[in-house]
Amino acid sequence: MDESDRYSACARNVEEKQPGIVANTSMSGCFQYYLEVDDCMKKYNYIVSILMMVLSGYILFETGTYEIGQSAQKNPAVWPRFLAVALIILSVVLIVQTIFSHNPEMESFSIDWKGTGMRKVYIMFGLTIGFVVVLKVLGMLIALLLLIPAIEWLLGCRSKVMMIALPVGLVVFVYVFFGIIMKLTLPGPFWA
Amino acid sequence: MNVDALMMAFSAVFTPYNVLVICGGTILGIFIGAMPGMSSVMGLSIMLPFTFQLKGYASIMMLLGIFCGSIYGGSISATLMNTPGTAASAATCMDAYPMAVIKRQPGRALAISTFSSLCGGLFSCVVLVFGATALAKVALNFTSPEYFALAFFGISIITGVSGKSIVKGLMGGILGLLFATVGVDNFTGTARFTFGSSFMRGGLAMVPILIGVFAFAQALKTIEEKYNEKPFKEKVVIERVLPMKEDLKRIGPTVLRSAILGTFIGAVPGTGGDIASWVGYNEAKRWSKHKEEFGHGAPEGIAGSEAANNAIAGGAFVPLLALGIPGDAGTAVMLGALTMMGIVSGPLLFVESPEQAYTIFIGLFVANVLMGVFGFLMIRIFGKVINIPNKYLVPVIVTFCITGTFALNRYLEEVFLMLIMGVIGYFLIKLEFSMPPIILGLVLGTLAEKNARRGLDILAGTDSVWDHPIAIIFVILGIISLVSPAISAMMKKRKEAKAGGSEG
Repeated sequence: MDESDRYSACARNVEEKQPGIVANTSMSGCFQYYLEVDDCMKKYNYIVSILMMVLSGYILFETGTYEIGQSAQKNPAVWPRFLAVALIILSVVLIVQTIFSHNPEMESFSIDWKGTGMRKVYIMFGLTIGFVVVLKVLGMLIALLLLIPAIEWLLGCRSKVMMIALPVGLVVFVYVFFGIIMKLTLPGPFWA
Repeated sequence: MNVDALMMAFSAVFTPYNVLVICGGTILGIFIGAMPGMSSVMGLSIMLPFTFQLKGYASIMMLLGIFCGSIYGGSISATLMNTPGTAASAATCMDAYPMAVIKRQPGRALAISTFSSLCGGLFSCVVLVFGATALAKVALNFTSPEYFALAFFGISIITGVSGKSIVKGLMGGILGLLFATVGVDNFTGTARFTFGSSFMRGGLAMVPILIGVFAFAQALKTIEEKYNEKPFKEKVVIERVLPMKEDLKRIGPTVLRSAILGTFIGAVPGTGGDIASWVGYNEAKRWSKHKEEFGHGAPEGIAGSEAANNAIAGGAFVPLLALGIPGDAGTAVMLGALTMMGIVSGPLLFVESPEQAYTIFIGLFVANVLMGVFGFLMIRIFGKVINIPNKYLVPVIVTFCITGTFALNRYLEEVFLMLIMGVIGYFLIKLEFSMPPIILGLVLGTLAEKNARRGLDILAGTDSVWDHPIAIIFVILGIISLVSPAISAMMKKRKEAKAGGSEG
């Protein structure tokens, strides 16, 4: 599909869904709209189906290496293989369903991977990885003491009092409840 | 009824320690349910590891308290903020919020909701005592084919909890079943999908996955959607905490009807409080003499949904205890807890350990009574508690996710597993996958595989399929349960298309 085809496809979409925009739609603006429409649930359904098929393929491959006995009870591969085949069938069903679907919800669905909310989630992923590293080195309580205010900050908290009081309060609660009442040995710093 | 077992159960529940634990669990459950975004499943998942540190039956008692309290708690934020604390409270918003805020009668609305919840919960407990025992007698003849058919029936409810896409729900269910295959095979000792890791040889623990896909994934979703949310500012005045006589007269029949409906719906695996509350609400409206008041603060509207969604608590325990099948995601967590406690739910529970079954019945009954007592007592302070902004709530949830997972087996690897599953769960939710099918697959996976393999060998021998009528019935029920949501969705589409055509 070259750009003029894209433009006409896009213009059709715009005309059908947002008539008011047509008059002001430039070639580049329309192409942008086309890309946005393209980022719909259909694309994600295809990706999910392919990933599930890859997973099923791996299961079939690994179970092929198992030693198999005569009966079902002596066959550790029978159940995972059955599930893998079912997953392949469902993936095909999802692809077919997606191709023939005229559900407007599926067309209008999009994920804003670059939006502020998603960026906050990416930061949270980073905080989680950082937490795991700090947990291994400095232990549970110190890691929580750093993670809690970081999440508060991420969610828009700028109150210094709350950014100190909540982590301290929660860590004291964790220490008292788990460490003292439950007698649980929490992971400590590497030097302890 | 085994009177000795009943007396043993009474003495097990009515110890100061256990009553205190139920009180704690119920209060905690009410607060969890009242906080928007925190469901009973999340509350149970977060608190599950903590409860294992408690002695004897106390852990189950605490979970029962949380279970009952959180179902009721969802109605509080629905009433005061028009924000259902749980999905099961969505129908409550319809009339409770107009009564509380537009009519300025929050005390009356909360009193009706508390009374209806209490009645619905107690009614379902009474039914549980009789219904579960009757089912258990039937289920005594179970062998491997029956158990497999039962697991299939349990798994078949996936389509009912699939959310927007049934195909994706089924995929999620299979993912859950595959998670359950990780580790050393019980029959042959073969290590499956362990990637050479000694941690994986023991299999994937259920609780970290539960906490990950429900609580941590939800925390990530909240961060994405409500990162800059302003705190609630509505000021609520509570003027009364007990229901009025006129209201009691008016809602009496509705409460009874919804309690029956809720108990029945709860006993059908795959359904839950959200369905029950809407059915209860609809029936309340259908039978009411004041239909015009619905949507503007009708007492029957509040009673209809609340009695039904609390009645599912007892109803959902019927298949859980008698057959070992969790009726919904909440009871799936309860099943996990019972298994880890060494209580094998299923037909033999009533024969081999009736005192354990009765202990759970009585515990649930006491939890419901306490739910009502605390509900009435705390009506005045609820308004303040539910105003906790997400910027403080999310760090608390994440902390509980982490410490709760670690507390279970004291493995850091399980904390990492929970975090990874949370991230996977978050993306799956974004792609419109529903989480309950994954959990159902995970919970029922081992039972299904073990009995499918045994059953295949039995059927390959002298037995014929026709020697197992109960298994056939369960398979048929499973198939019906599997395809009925798809058929009803198709019929709904056709009706809509017809209606659209006739309008055009």
